[in-house]
Parts: sequence; C-alpha cells; structure tokens
Amino acid sequence: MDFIQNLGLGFSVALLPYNLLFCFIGCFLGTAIGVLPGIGPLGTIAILLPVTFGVSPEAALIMLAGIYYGAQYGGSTTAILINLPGEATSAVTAIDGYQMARQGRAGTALAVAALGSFFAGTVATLAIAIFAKPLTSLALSFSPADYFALMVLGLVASIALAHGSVLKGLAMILLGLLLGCVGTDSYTGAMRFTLGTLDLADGIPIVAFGAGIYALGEILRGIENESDAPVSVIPVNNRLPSLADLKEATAPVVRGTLLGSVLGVLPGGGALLSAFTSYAMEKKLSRTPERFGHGAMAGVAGPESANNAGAQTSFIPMLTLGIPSNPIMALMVGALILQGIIPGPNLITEQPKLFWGVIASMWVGNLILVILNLPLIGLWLKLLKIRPHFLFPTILGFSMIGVYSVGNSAFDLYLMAIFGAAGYVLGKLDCEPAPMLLGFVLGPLLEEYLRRAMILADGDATVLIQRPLSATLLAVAAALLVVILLPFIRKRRKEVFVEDE
Amino acid sequence: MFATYWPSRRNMVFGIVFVSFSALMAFETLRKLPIGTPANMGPGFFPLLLSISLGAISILAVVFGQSSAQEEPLKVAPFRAVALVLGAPIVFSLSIDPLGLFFAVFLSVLFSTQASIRSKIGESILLSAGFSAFCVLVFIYLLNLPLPLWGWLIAG
Amino acid sequence: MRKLVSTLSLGALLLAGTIGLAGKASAEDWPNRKTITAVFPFAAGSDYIARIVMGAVEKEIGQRILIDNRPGAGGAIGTGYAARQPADGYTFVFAYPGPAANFTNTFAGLPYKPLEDFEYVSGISKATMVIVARTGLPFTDFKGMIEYAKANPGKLSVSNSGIGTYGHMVELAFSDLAGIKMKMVPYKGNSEVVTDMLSGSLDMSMDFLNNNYMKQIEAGTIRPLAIVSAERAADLPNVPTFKESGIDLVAQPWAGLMAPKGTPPSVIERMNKAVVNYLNTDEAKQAFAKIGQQVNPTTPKEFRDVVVSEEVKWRDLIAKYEIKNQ
Repeated sequence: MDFIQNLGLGFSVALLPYNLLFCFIGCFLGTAIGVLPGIGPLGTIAILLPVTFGVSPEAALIMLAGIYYGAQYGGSTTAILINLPGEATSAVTAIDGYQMARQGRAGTALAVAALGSFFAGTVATLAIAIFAKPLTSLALSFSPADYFALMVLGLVASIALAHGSVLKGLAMILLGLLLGCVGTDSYTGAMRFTLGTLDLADGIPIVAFGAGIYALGEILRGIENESDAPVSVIPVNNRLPSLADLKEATAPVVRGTLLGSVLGVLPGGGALLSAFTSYAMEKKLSRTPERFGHGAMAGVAGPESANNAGAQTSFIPMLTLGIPSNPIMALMVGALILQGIIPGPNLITEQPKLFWGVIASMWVGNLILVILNLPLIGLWLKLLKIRPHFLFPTILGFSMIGVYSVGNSAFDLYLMAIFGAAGYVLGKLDCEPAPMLLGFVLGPLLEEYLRRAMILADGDATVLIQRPLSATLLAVAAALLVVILLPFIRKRRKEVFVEDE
Repeated sequence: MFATYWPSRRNMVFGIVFVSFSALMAFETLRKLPIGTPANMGPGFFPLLLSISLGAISILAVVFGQSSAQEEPLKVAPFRAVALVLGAPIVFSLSIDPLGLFFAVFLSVLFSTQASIRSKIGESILLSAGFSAFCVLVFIYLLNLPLPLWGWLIAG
Repeated sequence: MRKLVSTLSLGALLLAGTIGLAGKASAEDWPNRKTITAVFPFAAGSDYIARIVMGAVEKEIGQRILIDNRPGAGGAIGTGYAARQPADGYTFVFAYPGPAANFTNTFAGLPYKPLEDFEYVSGISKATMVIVARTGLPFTDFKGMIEYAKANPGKLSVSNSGIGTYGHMVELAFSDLAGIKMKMVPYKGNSEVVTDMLSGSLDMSMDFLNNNYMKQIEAGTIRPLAIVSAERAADLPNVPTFKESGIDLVAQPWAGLMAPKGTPPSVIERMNKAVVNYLNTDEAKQAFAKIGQQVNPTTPKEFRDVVVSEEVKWRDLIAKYEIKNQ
C-alpha cells in the first residue's frame, strides 16, 4: 500500500506548523472572498501571487489551493443566505439553499453544505492519493468530440434546474448560450455582436453578468415587497441539522461526491458540470421531485458535495501532467514557476514532498474549513436579521467593486446595470436565471469543442456518433431530454383539459 | 372554451420578447457573420443555430405554457426604486476615475439607499460613509487591489 | 530564518498593504511623486516575467510599481489604455509583437496607433517558436514530417493560438514555402493543446516554447521537430532550425517596455538603465530560461528598431493571406 506511505509523507509536510499556517491563511482568505459578493478566487489569487514569492513552494501552493476551495465554501454561504452565488457552481446551491433559508432553515442548509463538502473533500483526497494515475488516463481519453457530447449532456441536465416551465428553462439555456457568443470569435477573429465597441471584444464579463442578474435582481425583488408594514423577520430556528436531516442528506452527498470526483478530473469544464449534473440526478432520483426548487435538502447536499469533490480532483491534471484545467490552476502553475518549479509529467518523482504535501493539505484545509465555518454559521444567521434596507446597499457596494476590479473597466458597470434590468424583467416572465448562467458559461466551450471536432474530422458530423464515448454521452443526453420533456408536455395538456370541464 | 387556450399575458410578453430577440440575433448573424461549412464553421454558424432554436423553443413554451386563466397578479417595484438601484453602478463608474474608490462607493451606495422607502437620510449617510471606509480598508489596504483611492480630481 | 522573515513580511503585506510603500509625496523629481503603473495587456497568470522584472526595477529606483492587468482584444485594450495616459513618466506598458506592431495591419478600428503613440524603453525578452509533434506519428523529424505531409495533404493537424498570432502566421508561411497542406486548428491556450496532443486528438503544435512544452519534451511525451529562430536554441541543441532544413523562415517573438509618447527622455533613460541592469544579472537569465525564454536588454533606440522591423517583416504576409482581427 504505497499510498499510505505517500500520504504519510504528505501529512508530514502539510502538518508542519509553517505550512499549517499558510493553509489556514488560504482557507480564511478564501472563505472571506467567497462570502464577499463579486470578488472571486481568480482575482484574489492573481493579487496574492507576488506575496508567495518569499515563501516555500509547498506553502505557496497550499495557500493558493486553500483560497481556491475556501472560496467555493464561502460562495455557497452567500448563495444560501442572500441568493447571491459567488460563481457559476454555487448558482445551483442557491436554488434550494435560498428557499431553505426563507423557510427558516438557513442553519440546516449551511451545516449540511459544510458537512457534505467535508465528506466530499475527504473522499476526493483519498481518490487523488490512490487513483491519481488511472484518473489521469481518463482525462486523456476524451477527444474534442467527446467533450462536446459531455457539454451537451451537461446542458440537458441543467434544464432540471428550472422548477417552473421546462420549456422556458430550455429557452433560458439557449439565451445563455447566445449571450456567450458575444465577443471575438476565437477561430476567425471576427467580432460577434460587440455593438462596435472594443469593450465587448472579450465577451460579456461573467462577474458583471452574474452580479447584474443575481445581485441587482434580488435587490429589486426585495424592494417590491417593501410596504409600510413592519419588517417581517424570517424566523431563524433549527440551527443545526437533526439526525433525520443528516440521514436524508447522506445518499445525495455520497452520490454527489462520486460524480464530482470523476467529472472534476476532466480539464475544460468537467468540474463545472459536476454541481448541476448532481442536481439533475437528485431531482430524478427523488421520490418528491416537486420539492426541488422549494427547499429540498438533497438539492443543496448533492451539488455542494459534487462541487467540492470536483474542485479538488481538478488538481489531478495539473499535478500529474502539468496541465492546468482552469484559469485558477494556470495561476498556480505561474506561482510554482516563480518558485523555480515547473509542473510537468515528472512532478511526482521530482517533487514528492510538494505533490503529496499539497494533496494532504487539501484534507487538512477541508478540516480547517469545517472548524472555521460551523461556528461561523451563528454569525451568518445574524446577517439575516439586518434590516434589508441596510443590507442591500452594502451588497450592491461589494458587487460594484467586484465588477470593476476584474477589468478596471467602467463599461462593465454599465453592463451590470443592463443585466440587472434584464434579470428583473426575465424574473417577471417566470424565467429562472440559473439555466441561463450555465448556458452562458458552457456556451463558449460547447462551440469550441464542436468546431474543433469538426475541423479535425474534416466536417464529418458522424464523428460525434462514431466514437463510443461521445455516442454514449449523446444517447444519454437524448434520453434525458425525452424523460424531462414528455411528462411536462403531458401534464400541461391535462391541465388545459381539466380546466375546460 | 377557447379562452383557456389563450396564453397568459405574461407568456405573451415572454413570447414577444424572446422571439423578437432571437429574430434580431439571427438577422444580425446573417447580415454580418459568415456561416461557413460544417468542416470549417464560420463565426455565424453557431449563433444562427442557437437563434433559430431559441425562437422555436420560445414559441413552444408559449403554446405549452400557462393559460390566461392561471394568471397571477404581477407585482412590480416602483419605477423610482428601479432607477435608483440600476443607477448606482452608473454613479460608481462615473466617479471612480475622478474621485477614487472612497467617494465612488460613498456616492453610489448613498444613491441606492434612497430606493428604499424606509431609508432616512441621516442613517443612509452614516451607512454609506462607514461602508466606504470599510471597503477602503478591505480592498485597498488588506487585499491590495489596484484601485485608485482618491482619483485624479483629488490627488492631482 | 528566511522563512520566518517571509512569513512576517507576508503578514505585514496583508495587513499594511501599500500604505508604507506609497507614502511620501514630495515635490522631488521622478520617481518620487507617486506610484508607477506598468500596464500588462494580458490577464494575470502569464505575467510572471513582468512581475520579476518590475520587482527588481522597483528596488533599484526606489518607487513602488503597480502591475496593472488590463487584458482584452489580444492586448489592444491595455496597450490602447496606456497610450491615452499622461506622459509624465508614471505609466509604462509591456510591448508585444501584436499590439505594438502587427495590429497596425490586422486590426480595423484600433483605438491607438501602434508605431506612433509610444516611446520605447527597452527590450525585455526573446522567445523561441517551435513546432512540436505528438508521439505515435509515422515520422520523427522535421524532414520526415514534410514528406509525410506532402504524401498526405490535409491529413496532419497543427494548432495555433488564434488568427493573426505568431503561430498562425508562421503556419501560413511555412505551408506556403514547403508546399504542404495542414489542418490548422485554433486553440485558446497551450494547456488545451498539450491535453489534445497527449490524447492523440491533435498531431502538432506551432507555438512559443514554454514550460508546458519543455516538461513534456523532457518526459518524452511530445517531440520537438524544428525551431523558427535564426540559430538553435540552448535548451534544445539537437533540434534543427527551419533555415537549416531548407525553409527560409525566421520568426522570434519578443517582449519589451514602452511608455506613452512624450514621456521625458530622462525618465526613459533611468528606466532603461534599471531594466537593463537587472536583465544582465545571472538571476534574470536563469529565471527567464526556466520558462524557455532569453533576456534581451537593449537601448531604447534598438528596441524601437525591433518594433519597426517587426511591422515591416509581416506586412506583406498579412496582406497576402488577408489576416484580420476584426
């Protein structure tokens, strides 16, 4: 059992007081920026990069990794409490988590998210330690055609995020995909829908998009409910989950963890898919799917675990091949280069202490996060007691700074206002934002993989069904689409006829 | 009997907004972007595909959507509040370069507080000033973000 | 001890931020009046060279330098932003072949004039263009590859990092000179390229030699075929140049430092000295070599010539293939 020895080496590195300190700093900063709306891990890691010059490579990477998964953690806190997802994946948590909070079960939701994430983190750490090599070959078995099929499956799954009209959910995904087309076409350099301004040359910035749709939309919805009656304080009871709650959450957590661990390994969008694939799966498996969207615990437990497991296994391609699977990983590679270490296929043999130390630190970090966050739940719940007309200007303030700081661009703030208006109108039309956000994030990837697959296959579209992997994924997507759409159409028909009588 | 088949007003608006948006995008694509061939897709291929699908799905969503009989009353925030909340980012963007972070946050947050009917001006000023100071502390001194603290009008 | 010191300084940085460094605003000459901004026209993460160099310059001139990442439109947004800043010696911008020169010919509606809006400070680095192939192909060297491509037109796929980039222009010129046809596949970043090469989906890549490729080459999972420089690279002494192999093509991407037009010559001179002093240290050479680049200290005049000849060199090719960014 090599991996026990290796993990032993890892923990001997991760538990050095010096590295422990940086793990704590990373987790703390990560939680803080995750909780602050609009400030993402990408920006923070970019800013802290020069700070890591002076510390040891292990400590640097441990801290940056801590920021990364700490931010995922903090992001779900605001998603649950004030319906403000810090990033695309926590948009899934926001759906049922926020409903739970409105029913006075915010404490339960936060605790389940924290414990689920911890379980997922533990399993994912073990998975990396034992299966890093085989999982790497999984990442290398996907061709562009397979990635395209995977994205299609993910998009179909994200219809499940809509709890109202399925067709409107589908329309919102397409709208998101279409908005994702804005900007320079990376294949030809053509400007698409940029309205003649260079500010849109790189597309709609996701932070401005998300802050507009979510933060501004939520604020406006809050204001419309204002009346001269005294503020109705949401009852906050049932702080910690009961045994029954935990029992209910167990199966979704386990399923989400497995799903996230596998999908996270795939570079280029794998980790992103895990949270809402898990949501779709839980909704399909649930005996009470109608509760989803109205505060279903499984809708928080599953995606949160999947998200955290995926975030962690997405380190695998970087650690075993030197290939960063997302922009945050690319920054971490940058930090290592500054330290004189170039991650590559030989990192495990060249830098065993770094490799295993970072893996072990992930578990330590997850433990720190639980210890840090469980007591904080009480504090977060106090946030709910702040009177809304004090809370919303500060949310707005944070969001504006976040939006501005991404590109130091005043134009992004105009976009934020425009998307705030659009988000509010869409809400009035019973259109839910989460499928649109996911379409927006996945759209560019979907198109890139499709076009790349087509160029490589000389325009032969059958390549998509010739490869067993993509054929299977597409078949599953098609089946899922039928399963989702049929009952909906049947039900609507019934409703129409019933009313006629 | 036919009344129940009539889509709700909300769904009619949805249909009009979505179908005209997809038509606009399709039109823009056809006008400006080469479609290309499947072997070498042009920049217009994917957007055209998407806008046609969006139009089709939107029509289906109206057809299979809520009927007018199920319509719930629509609640909308007062126009003044909407303008104040959506205007805050614009105030921020206009003031960040000349005045810097502190006043940009102060002015835009103060602006937005007036959206609530419950806000009192004294409280709002206090809140905005306190929050701005907090932001300067966190973003400039703690997180070290490259944001101008005072702007060119003040610092010169 | 070093660790303790850095721990403490990290804490100090986190807590005190810029307050101590930015301090003293006196009426003295440059650079004491305010913080210097060095615009980096790409996203954070690819800016380590910029950070290393400016970190050293900061120490030498005794003023804080802020790296301002203003990414977008292939570098055009940040470079254009810098062009509009006051020429008071407190704004600099990193120069790259596209935004500093070639966009003149490819970018309609560019919001600045690349060859007119700047003063030139110094060259910083030179990189190597390389063509690499995955393993498992029926050839092992550059000549074999050309023969194979001739026998199987349009079969080999080769990546580049987008229309109008160095990789793309070299691919076009190379296909033309060698009389071959390849599938050119644009990618957004080289980590994706490496993934697809390792999985066998993509055959070759024309790109800057960087850490991603170096590590795969060392591990034997990717094979270098030829480099596009005038001479062989120190890192890859066994890899022939294009010229040696009968393809008359030399391309060498570079980076440098510019300032808005009208920046005082005295400032340019001091900045140049600070940059060049650092680039001539062994420390700098090693740091650059780690990611497959070479230091390139120049005088302001020499760097200006680099930029001017860059535009001339590619002008005809860009016109011939109608390469456009917009």
